[in-house]
Amino acid sequence: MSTDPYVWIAAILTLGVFSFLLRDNPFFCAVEHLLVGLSTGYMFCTYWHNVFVPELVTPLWEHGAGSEAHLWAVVGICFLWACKYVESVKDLSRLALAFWLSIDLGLAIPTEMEAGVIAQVVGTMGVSFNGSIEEILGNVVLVGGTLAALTYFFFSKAHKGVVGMTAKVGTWVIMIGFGASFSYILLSRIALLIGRLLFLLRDWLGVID
Amino acid sequence: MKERLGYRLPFVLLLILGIFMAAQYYIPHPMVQKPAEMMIQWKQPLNAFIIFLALFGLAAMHIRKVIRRQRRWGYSVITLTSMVLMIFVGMVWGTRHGTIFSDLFKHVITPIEATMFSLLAFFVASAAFRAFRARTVGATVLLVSAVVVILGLIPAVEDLCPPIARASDFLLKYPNTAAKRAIMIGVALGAISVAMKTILGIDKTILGRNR
Repeated sequence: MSTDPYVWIAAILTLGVFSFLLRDNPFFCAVEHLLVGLSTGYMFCTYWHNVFVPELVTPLWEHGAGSEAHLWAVVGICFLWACKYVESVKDLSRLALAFWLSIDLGLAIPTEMEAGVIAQVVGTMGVSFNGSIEEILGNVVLVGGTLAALTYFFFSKAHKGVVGMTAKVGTWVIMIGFGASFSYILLSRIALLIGRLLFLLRDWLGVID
Repeated sequence: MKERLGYRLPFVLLLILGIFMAAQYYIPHPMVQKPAEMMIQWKQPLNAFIIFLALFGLAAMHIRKVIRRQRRWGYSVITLTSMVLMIFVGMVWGTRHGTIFSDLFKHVITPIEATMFSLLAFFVASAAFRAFRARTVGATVLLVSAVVVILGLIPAVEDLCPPIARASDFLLKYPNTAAKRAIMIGVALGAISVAMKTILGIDKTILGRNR
């Protein structure tokens, strides 16, 4: 059995989470709330040390009146955002929200078009129909399956006749994709479960090598 | 005045900056690229500040719960105490490897998170038992695909039954890619349409207006 206090803490917390398998209980709830508290503290410190200080506080401190003076605008936007908590001026926070959204949404249009649409269409159209029978068949499935699955998402035309049949094939292709994703998720969770059981039996209790 | 400041000005700002940020991608001129890069540079500290506000909101909610002695307030004490502890050790001793901060992450947060995700194995398995009953063609396809891929991912199956491993590879390489591509194209088109609706002011709910 381990003598490391950290191993004991981790083992007790692991058992606390596993206790949920019996039913929801105070031990599990306590561990759950402990995780929320520690994770938020972790997030605060990580963002503070890795983002807020090096990208705003330090540049402003060192070059606030010179090359990095534009960062004062960020301070202003932060103040606008904090206005949300003052009832009389809370509408001002919408300006900060609008600024924040405009960057994200504006950038999303070209990047999604490039990576999500054009790159995928080029990848589908660029397949080769040479090689082994398996490769040729696979590429036919790839191109046909993509078109069929896209037809399923096309709601401007009623899913009847040829469109309906293609959409039906599209649902089967999507089901194959979901089955594959499900398998990956299940196996990754089982791998984690094995890891936790190994930790309890090997690292904590020492009953197996 | 309040109407203009509260609602119209944010929409005008969103329209102008949104169109600018979309257009700058196609205009490689320094006069356009420089302000765009500057605004992208502002985004990171702004994101951090928004997260701080969110954490402040969470802490305020738990403090209120404790002060008012609401139901299950004891758990809020645990959350607040652990939050303060983590922030204290992170701010005083830093977040580098070998500090108490990294030890807490390694020996407390990681085991809890790993165990929580491992619990999902039980729930995913029980959900699969209910969902995978082959009642329709779609459900049967899902079942067969999942079973073949699971078997194909087991190392021993490659030696014991090569056709299953090959079928698993085929499913992952071709129909799975086709499904993922179609979903990605659909998601991208959806994201673009949502972005355009918001920037052009067709969808006003995102800035807190229902009409």
